[in-house]
Amino acid sequence: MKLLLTLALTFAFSSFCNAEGESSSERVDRQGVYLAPGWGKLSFTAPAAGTYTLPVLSTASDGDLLNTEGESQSLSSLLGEKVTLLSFIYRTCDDVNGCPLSTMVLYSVANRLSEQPELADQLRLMTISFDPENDTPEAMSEYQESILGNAELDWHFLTSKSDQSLQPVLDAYEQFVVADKTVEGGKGKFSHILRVYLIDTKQQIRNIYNLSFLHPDILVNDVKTILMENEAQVAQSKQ
Amino acid sequence: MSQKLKIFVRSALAAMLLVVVLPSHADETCMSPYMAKIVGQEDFVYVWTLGEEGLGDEQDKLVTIDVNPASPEYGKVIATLSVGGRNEAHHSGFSDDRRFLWAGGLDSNKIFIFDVHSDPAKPKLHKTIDNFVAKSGGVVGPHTFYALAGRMMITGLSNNKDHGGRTALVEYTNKGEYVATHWHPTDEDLRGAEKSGDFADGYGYDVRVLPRRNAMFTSSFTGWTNYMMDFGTMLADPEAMKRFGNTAVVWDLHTRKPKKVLDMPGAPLEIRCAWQPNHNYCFTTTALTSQIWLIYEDDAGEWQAKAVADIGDPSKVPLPVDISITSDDNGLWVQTFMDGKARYFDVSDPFAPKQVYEIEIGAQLNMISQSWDGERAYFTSSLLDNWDKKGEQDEQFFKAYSWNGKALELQFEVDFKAEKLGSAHQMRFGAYGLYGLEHPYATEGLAAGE
Repeated sequence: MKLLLTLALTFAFSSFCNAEGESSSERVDRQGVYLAPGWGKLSFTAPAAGTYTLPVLSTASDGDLLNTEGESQSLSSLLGEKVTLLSFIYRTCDDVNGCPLSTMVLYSVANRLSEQPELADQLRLMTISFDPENDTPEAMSEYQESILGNAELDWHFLTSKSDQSLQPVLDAYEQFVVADKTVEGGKGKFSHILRVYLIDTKQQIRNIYNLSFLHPDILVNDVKTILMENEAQVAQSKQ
Repeated sequence: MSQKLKIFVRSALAAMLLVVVLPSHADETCMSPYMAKIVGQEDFVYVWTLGEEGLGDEQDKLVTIDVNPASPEYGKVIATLSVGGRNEAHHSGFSDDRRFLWAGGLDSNKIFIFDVHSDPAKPKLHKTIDNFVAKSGGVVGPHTFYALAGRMMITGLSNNKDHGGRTALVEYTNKGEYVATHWHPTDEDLRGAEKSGDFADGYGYDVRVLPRRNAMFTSSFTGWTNYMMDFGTMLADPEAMKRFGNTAVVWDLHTRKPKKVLDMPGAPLEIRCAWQPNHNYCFTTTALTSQIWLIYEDDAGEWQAKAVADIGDPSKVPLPVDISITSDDNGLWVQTFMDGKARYFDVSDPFAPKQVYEIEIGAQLNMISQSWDGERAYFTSSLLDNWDKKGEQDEQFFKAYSWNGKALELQFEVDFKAEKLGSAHQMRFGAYGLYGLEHPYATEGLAAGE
């Protein structure tokens, strides 16, 4: 198939942050590819937890999904109990600055919080596939195993019955996805904007991250900011 | 990191090779932090246009012009979408997923959200926000629409208490729901910011960000009373001329807190930040003092501002308006309204810009949009309804040029008066490929990346 690619959706160079003391050329891999900030040291000090507020953006929507056992799983049933980080991916995404980045960052955030006993059980991770055709419950189960290994993290890997059942979820979260037509048949590869959502225990979206800010330092402090807010509200209610 | 995750990451890194070797197969939208960019041939230019009394339907409208040379409609207006009145149409900006174009009215304070993804050749009005002032707590004049992750940052120009220049940034979700208002620091309330010079006027105009430095920058113009006043009347009013912004503000992007107020006398307008990874600086130009200013991070990590070049003869007040930096950071287009000129500066040394080219585009000139590769540049004429020139000098046009690195060459133009469209203001690019759509015509030979 002859490529008719008259445009490309480029990695905006502004996002290529540099670790302190490193030049930009040092923030690429051996093949000379730029790496998103999340792969390295953050080039600035993340604002300290609790020194800022995260305004409510919207209510986190529900959706009819499938868990790795193939059972029906409503999205909202997993929200509210804990502060949640939610990402949309497709399992075969091979762009290091895309889905693998969000998975790595989520893992890193959970790992860091798990080292702090008072925070360890207060975070839930959710990874939802937008490729139900290829990402069956069985495939997502294998994917979960490949990511978690023996790690004990509260991380739910979800898919859906069909594109039709998934679309309302994508619409609600404004996760724009199109099949990549430069791939033969347009199947199996997708163009999408990278997004991760921070959802509080009132099921409200409090932040949305893209490539530029998807870094463990930032997410950890945002999660802590929400948890500190919860503690303050509990303390206030007792007065 | 678990061993399995390490393997997973290594696999992903290995897969990146494919991206490099076979760019045509890259899943490039995975890599867009804020917005997908058109790096090849754009298909459309959307022109947010002011309705003019006695011309056509007299309404503000979004005008779609076909700019793809492969199209049988090349050079033609292919769609117009009127919004039901005049609002002082001014600037517009896409949401981060580029599916919607937000466009504001500086007088009515209405915000029109156009769907540009369902049919990029024929945008449709998706939603109108008509309570911006009330929701924002009194901000007037929605100006810049700048996409952040899942939300829109809007700059105000004024307020509803005195219609002066004190104003704020206002944040909305992509769905058009109000989120927060961030007032600019003033002498009375610096909001934790450092006042580094003589001014903390609280004025606003443009906004840009450098995510790698967690920095957001705003500039300052003037309030509703001035921008809605007849230009000649205002110039003759010494008190009115005092009511222009003299500052730029550095903000913490993540927390939205102002950090430092920088003096920048003479109304700094458009801000354009460098693209390259180590280029921690932005340019702006001052309308009244006709200078290029550099906002830069010094060796100590402190943000500073410095006037680095004059634009034309400042004593003649050429009134620099829109600017545009090239994607390699080596060039800066500067348009001057009064003499209708486009000027190209070599800014490879950002501290010493040198003008290397100029051309008169028309009797008056305001906006420029250039392609990512710099090979095409589009110009429009209108500044503000009451500031545009009068009589024959009030040319209203869209002009498409090619740029070979040395000179601009006119490709085609659309006379907005002859076409009874109105006054042409800001331009944004559209393309079928952004939404996985095929061109309705053959594009053989035009592909960028074949």
